[in-house]
Amino acid sequence: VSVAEPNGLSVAGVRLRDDRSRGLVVILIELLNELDRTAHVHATPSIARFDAEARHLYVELSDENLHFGQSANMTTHPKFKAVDPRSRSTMHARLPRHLHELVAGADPRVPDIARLHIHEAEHVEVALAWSDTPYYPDPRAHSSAPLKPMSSWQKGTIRGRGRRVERA
Amino acid sequence: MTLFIRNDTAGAGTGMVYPNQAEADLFIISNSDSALGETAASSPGLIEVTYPKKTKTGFCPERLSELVNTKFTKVPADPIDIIILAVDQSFKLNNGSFITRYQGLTVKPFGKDLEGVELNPTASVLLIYNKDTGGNCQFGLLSKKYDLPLPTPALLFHELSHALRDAKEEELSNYSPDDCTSSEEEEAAEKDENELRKQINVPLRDPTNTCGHPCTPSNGCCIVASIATGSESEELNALRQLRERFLRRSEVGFDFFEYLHYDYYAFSPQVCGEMATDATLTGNVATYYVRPLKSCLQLAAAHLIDGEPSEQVGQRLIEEVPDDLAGLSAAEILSAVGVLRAEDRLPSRWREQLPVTPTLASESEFVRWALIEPIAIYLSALVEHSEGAGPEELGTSFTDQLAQWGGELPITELWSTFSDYELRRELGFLGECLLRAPTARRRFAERLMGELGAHERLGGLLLEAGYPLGD
Repeated sequence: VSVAEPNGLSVAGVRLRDDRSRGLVVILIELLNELDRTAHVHATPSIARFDAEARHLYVELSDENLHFGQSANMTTHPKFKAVDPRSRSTMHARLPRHLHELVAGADPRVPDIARLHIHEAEHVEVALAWSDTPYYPDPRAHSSAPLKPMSSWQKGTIRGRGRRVERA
Repeated sequence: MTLFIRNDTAGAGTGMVYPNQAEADLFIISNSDSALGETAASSPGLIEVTYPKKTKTGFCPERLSELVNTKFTKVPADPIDIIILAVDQSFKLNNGSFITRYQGLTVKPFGKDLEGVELNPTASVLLIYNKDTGGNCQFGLLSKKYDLPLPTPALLFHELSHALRDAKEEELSNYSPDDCTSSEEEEAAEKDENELRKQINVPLRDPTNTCGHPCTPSNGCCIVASIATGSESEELNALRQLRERFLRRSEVGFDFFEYLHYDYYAFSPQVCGEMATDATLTGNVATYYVRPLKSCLQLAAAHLIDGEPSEQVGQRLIEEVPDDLAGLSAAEILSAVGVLRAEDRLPSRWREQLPVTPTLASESEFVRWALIEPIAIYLSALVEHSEGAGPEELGTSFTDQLAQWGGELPITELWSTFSDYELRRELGFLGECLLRAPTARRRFAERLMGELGAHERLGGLLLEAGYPLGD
């Protein structure tokens, strides 16, 4: 199942594959560019959520919902994938088979770490930021309205859903 | 003792946390001080850092000693004040975001993100950092490029700077006007990070820039040039510098680049596709397009921005002809100019060896002005040189053409949205670089008057900014 955006860029299909030998979960995202120009897609997984009970994995390839205001070392720019005009292209998003996150421990002063077995996902949903121009940072020293370069680059978000497949 | 390392309770090598990495990084921060030690903590899952009597001097050992030996009573979990977690790319925060997008993060006790999601479920200050920072670069203080690898001790020391202020409740402002400008809090941490960089003798980070970038060679510049001359070539770096230092600094320059960008990427990926399978074509694009563009824009910058006189420009033009263009005849160069301008009158072997300027390119006034005309101006100057023109004659002719070219800068709709203040500012900026010659300013003023004829005060503003009107 995919959510299409007629006459633009859309996700034509999504599949999830458990690549045990390389310790990875690979999400294959088929993109359909119906534009007369090259489309550029955010290609770095930024956010992942896993519902173990429903075996549902959600992955966001976008900076839209990242909050860089924390005491972070640096805001790492994502990689991008270009899709030729009027063509299909498959993008591979790779994640470790297990993800880890903090949970409250028995001692409220010390965090525990939970392991998420995302390789067991049966359903996968992706959201990708895209634009019809490549991303460039904004070098202007000032701006009357402070710019968020990544968010101003993005022309929209496309979404798609799919299922787990076994390696052929 | 107040500084702790999260141990891997699931067993060493299970890939949840990496205490050995944290221990090694702290040892480097201490300047390899044997007084640094550790002991089993009273709480399971923690290793307590000890540093009773430092034997090394310097900013970083001093800071580490302060962190280990201060009782931070404002931290609710005191005496377990700060906990370090060295993690890998599989770690994500509770709001779903991967640590790889930040590399390191320090979160206050029970700290939440802007959406209210609890990032720290504990009463301690948590310091989380990625042990695998390879592939991501920071902005260099001297290089002014995203070319600085991030050593993990520098990353940890940076986060310890945040942790110290968090533990004291002395956090500085986190306001940042954009994604890359450091907030006060961030700048303080980056300055501390530089102290560690000095200690381990690696290049310093620009503390005003908080962005990182994959350490891939292409920092987003003309992709045809990248393929033709190599992604870290002198040509490409020169074009990048010109773009960022001059072309996109003003509002009209930035706006112009948006249009150029849009039009350029309508055809360039296809040209690159052809180049990928044709080495001869790639070589010709480098010779006839990329190197002349770089040379022309560099000479233009020398004359129009740095004020280099015409004769000197002519001399440089003669001395700095790229090797692969030096041996060509005037006829060959003229053929290349014809192809560039999509002139049908010049069917020649160039039509087979160079990509005929795609229709989309020649139809775009932005591509024509920014790319095609500078190349043509430069190649035409080479023809004059091959016909015997000396430095003075060549320089005068070249700079006259530059003035003419400058006066034809495409005028976008943005001009009609400017206030008087903004008009003064933009005209002033252009007058100091692109439109230094009176002929260029006169031509541009005529065109601007034609475009914004209804603007009552424009004539006065132009005169005030030194743009002559009429004859």
